[in-house]
Amino acid sequence: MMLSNDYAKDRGKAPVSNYAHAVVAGAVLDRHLEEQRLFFPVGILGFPESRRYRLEIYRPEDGSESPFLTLKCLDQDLSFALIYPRSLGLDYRVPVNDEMLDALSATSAAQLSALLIVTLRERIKDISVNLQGPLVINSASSLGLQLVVEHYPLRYPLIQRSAE
Amino acid sequence: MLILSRRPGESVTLGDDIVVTVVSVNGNQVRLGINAPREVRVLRDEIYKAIREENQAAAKAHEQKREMDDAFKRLRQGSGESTGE
Repeated sequence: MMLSNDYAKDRGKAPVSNYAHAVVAGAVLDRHLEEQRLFFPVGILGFPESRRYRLEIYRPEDGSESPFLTLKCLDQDLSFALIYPRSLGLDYRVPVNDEMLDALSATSAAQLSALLIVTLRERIKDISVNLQGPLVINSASSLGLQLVVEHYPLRYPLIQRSAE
Repeated sequence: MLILSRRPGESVTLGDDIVVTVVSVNGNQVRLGINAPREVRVLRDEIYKAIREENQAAAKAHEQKREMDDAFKRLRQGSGESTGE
């Protein structure tokens, strides 16, 4: 994966636009489907060996609705709480290039969805959402990747308190 | 750690598939070019470590469901605003 656009320029080739596409969060799970099996070819950062997962809608114990999902690893005892960007009311865009589309067996960014990892913490005001490392998923191919979008925050508070 | 000296234009090959080239040096800043297979993620180290650490903090084990139930309950009680759509 090329890091520097200037590399090509310095080699006398025309610079390539790395990011010709954008991803806008779509819906991965059809609400009628309880779960989707996903495969992350290179795992997620820090867990490179954990590749097979099951994505499910999270149902609170009292039977109410929640915007959360769970991503449960089938290779080891590991699981993540996830949320859709639109549940946070965010206009969230993940730039993707052709290499990322290829890696997800997608032909266009429209086939992809973004899901965000939620870090649960003791105090609710500390619960945050990782906007910098979204999980980008192609539900048709059941492939996923964690991408890095540096200009977004790593810890976006789940609860945005208005001024009191 | 293996330490090598390189001049601009020179490269280091890692394994058979990864090439790191010193493109230019300007003062205390080095411009590097990385050629690697697409399955190899290339990131600035501090970014990689920060995301890895956050993933680790977010990762739960078998008690995930109970923690989420607990957090969701607290969210509903503690916040007057809804977290969802």
